[in-house]
Amino acid sequence: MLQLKKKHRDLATGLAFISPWIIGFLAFVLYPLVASFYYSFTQFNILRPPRWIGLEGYAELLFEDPLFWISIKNTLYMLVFGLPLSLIVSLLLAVLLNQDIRFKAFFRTLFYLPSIIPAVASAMLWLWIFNPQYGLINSVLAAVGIRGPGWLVDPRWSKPAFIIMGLWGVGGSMVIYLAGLQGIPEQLYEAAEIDGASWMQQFTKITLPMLSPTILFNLIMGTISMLQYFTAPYIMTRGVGTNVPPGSPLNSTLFYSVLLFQNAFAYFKMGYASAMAWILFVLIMIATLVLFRSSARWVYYEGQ
Amino acid sequence: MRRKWNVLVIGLLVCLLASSTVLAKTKITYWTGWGGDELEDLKVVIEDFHKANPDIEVETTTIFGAYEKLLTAIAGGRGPDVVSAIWASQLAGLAHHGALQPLDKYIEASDVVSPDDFFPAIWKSFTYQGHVWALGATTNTNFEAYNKDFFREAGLDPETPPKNLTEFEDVIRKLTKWDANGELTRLGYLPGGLLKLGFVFGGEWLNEDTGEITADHPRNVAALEWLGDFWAEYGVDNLQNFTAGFGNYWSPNNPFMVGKLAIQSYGEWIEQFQTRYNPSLDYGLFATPAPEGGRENVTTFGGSVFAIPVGTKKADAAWRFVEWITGPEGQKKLAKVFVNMPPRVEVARDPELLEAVPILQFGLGLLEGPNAFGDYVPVPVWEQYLAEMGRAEEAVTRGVAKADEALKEVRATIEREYQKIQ
Amino acid sequence: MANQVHNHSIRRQGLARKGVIYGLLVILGILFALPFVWLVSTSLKVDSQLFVMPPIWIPDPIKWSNYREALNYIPFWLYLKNTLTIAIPSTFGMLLSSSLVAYGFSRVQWPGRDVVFILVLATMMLPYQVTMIPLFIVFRNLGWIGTFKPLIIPSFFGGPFYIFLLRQFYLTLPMELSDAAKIDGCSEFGIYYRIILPLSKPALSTVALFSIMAYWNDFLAPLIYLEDDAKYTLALGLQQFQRQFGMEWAMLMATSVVITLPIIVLFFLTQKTFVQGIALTGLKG
Repeated sequence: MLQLKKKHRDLATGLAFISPWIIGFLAFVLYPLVASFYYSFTQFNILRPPRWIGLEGYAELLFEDPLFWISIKNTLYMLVFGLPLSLIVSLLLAVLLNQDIRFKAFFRTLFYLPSIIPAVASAMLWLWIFNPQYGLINSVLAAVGIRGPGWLVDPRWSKPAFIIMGLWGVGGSMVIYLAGLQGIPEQLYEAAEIDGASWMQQFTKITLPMLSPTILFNLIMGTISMLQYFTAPYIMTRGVGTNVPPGSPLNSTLFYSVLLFQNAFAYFKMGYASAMAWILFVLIMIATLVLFRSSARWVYYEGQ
Repeated sequence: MRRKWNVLVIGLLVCLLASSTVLAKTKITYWTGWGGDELEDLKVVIEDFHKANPDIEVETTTIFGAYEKLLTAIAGGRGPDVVSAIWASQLAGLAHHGALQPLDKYIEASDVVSPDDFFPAIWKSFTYQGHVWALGATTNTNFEAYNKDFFREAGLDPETPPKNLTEFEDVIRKLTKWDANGELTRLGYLPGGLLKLGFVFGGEWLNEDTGEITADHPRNVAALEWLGDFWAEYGVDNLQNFTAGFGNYWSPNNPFMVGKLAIQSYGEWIEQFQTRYNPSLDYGLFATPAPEGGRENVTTFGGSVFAIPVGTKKADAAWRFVEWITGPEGQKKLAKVFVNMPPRVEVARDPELLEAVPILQFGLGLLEGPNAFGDYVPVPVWEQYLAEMGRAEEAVTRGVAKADEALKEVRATIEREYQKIQ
Repeated sequence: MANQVHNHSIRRQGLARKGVIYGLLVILGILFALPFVWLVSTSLKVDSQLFVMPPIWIPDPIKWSNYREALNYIPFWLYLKNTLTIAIPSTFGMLLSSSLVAYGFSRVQWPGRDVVFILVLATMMLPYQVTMIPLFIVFRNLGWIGTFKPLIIPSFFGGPFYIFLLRQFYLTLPMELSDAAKIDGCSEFGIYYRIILPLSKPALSTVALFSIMAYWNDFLAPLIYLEDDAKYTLALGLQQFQRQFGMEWAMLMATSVVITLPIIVLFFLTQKTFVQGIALTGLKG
């Protein structure tokens, strides 16, 4: 009896503490979630009430709208090529910084700084860096006699350009790796050293397995943010002075969220955009689930 | 004695009325798309309105560069009382979305505004499905501007610009310069803007009788093919890289002003930029040359229009501002400060204005001709039509699509969108 | 003898390894630093030195007035005020709510707690795009469009990422602290306020820093909710500047430096706490 009472009291205390989240969840998550699910079956321009059209919006997305598939393809490209590359580079940086080196604080700051620069500012900077005629990259290439590509104005190079720009901003995942690396007990390395394990062996046999939960974390977070990639392409890919909407050249940088935003706030197709949002949500759930499922095979948890 | 009293009473009444109207000043919010120096000029003109209408105060805000804001604001119930950050091209869409109030009843009651006062094609651009949704205070025309020094340098007569497309192609070739490494150093001209080019080639984008989208009209296809051939001739990579160094029209790095382009499409506003960025530039104007079977002396016209959004409670005061600024006085003042073409026939032909702003003469000739077109297609899905046209143009010029197929696809997409909202 | 050879080779191997590490660090360091150098260099150039090949790295003359002009081109102080008007109360709200909620998920035992916590984590996976449209409509109905409210008020209801970070941290504090306080008659809220909060300063600073940066850099939400340019934030103002004036590179770079500088200064001031905080909160996975 007393125990039950305590249980109730604990429940009340617990709920009281998390009540801000509950209210926020109901108002800013659950309601919008349900509403957007409803809107996704309607035609809705905000000014007039939504009109039910059933699955038409979804059908159009999947079977009629070529831009939808282009945006999926572009986003997948970033996921398949951009994300692993940035995870590798950030891991490399973290491993280097975790060594016994001088000027550690300096290097750590240098590698981390780009990731805290406002996305708008770094978009402007890279727009200028990628300028085919006077930009930093092509100037350097020209100095060694290479004629650089058009980068953001060349459909073959526009996505690689975004990947390069992304590599500059890997500081966030680097810091997380760094924290993970510092959690690996020193004794493991000492023991391996005595056994005569090479540096590479230590890396593959100790560092990687011990770091695998961190890798999983970065992988999931990276996937989610890559699927929502918006600010940089939105700012950097409007054909200047032309009628081409964001996503130029030749839709090569039309990423999923850019198309979604365009439909919602440029064409005011809120219902259609809601359907896109729900497809995105499902994609994220599937990706997360797949990563979690696969993690049983490659993520090492202490005490296992 | 009695008369004296009368006068006194009337005088008193007048005073009372005047003071009460001053007290009951109506404040209206006005969102403009003009920014920077133009905004300052506009505010000066609005002061004249204030002087003539002491009972209304116009609060001007610019949303230059953030035009998407308008619809969200109107949808959010926070729209302005008057807006001019929109173009005639958007009226069909805005009217369809239910964002604007029709102006018909005000126009009927007005003795300042009558359809006959405006160029007929321009008046038509204010209407959609039988209602008037906005009025214009300014418009613009367009044509080609050429650098006479470059003509001389290339051995061309600086006083005879090309008359047809074949001559034009030839001139462009002669004006284009390459360096020893085969890199472009100057381009004769960079064609673009499929909408107008379609008109120049003799095409059309909408059959207004049947409501049919005619993006794949054979003459539009011909225009796009010509664009594709141009890019192929000069090399996609060459053009891409060279033009990526171009600044905007309104930047000091504007390619025509800095001599990277020998010919560029402009409107009457070229004068403002030229005096600011390259006062010594010697330039001339000509209408976009047409191919055989095309249209001569084509211009498109557009420009911001003044409308009253739904949801305002001050529509009457808003209308008085719209009526004044699109009236003869407002138009003339704006034409002078902005160097823009007035949409009212009489104002446009005003000798005093033409003397003050001589460059208007050239566009006036085009506007009075038979080939003046609105710079849009009057359908509610225009924004998408424009985007799709841009995409088709990009694809064909970059050599990854064929003109007829690309335009067929545009047609299919826009037809689908159009049908969906009917 | 054999031992000596072994030692020698280890030393040599160690030296080679050091060499590789420093070599990589220097190369990567240069690659990471170059864009910054380019940014600052461009921001100080006169226009005629922008479009030159090969590029000029040290501007001559150094045009400091680009900065003065940049501050005038966009109403910098106004946008700064707007940004802070959003970032400061939002960060405060975020700290307050997230720390409370995290406490409820870590220091209080209640049935169903861990299931609900999974729900919190799941909302991290919810893309903003899904809720963006209905939220816009909700805020419209509340008459909040065009005001700062949609940008500030939601932060008073906790952010899942910050709740997660703080919860992980709270879990590392020994439960005995709470038990002792309870015996002294302290209420649960009292424990939170008097014991746990003071102990969480590094974790809270980390959250505060993350949160300020997020609000400072936020682009999408201001883009959707703010209307007239008198209310713009710095990030939005910079983008509008670019759309209005196009490619005025020197000015764009000067403005970018100006809006980046405060973040960098903030980072330098708090660097120690920050790194400590990340290590302390369970981010090590």
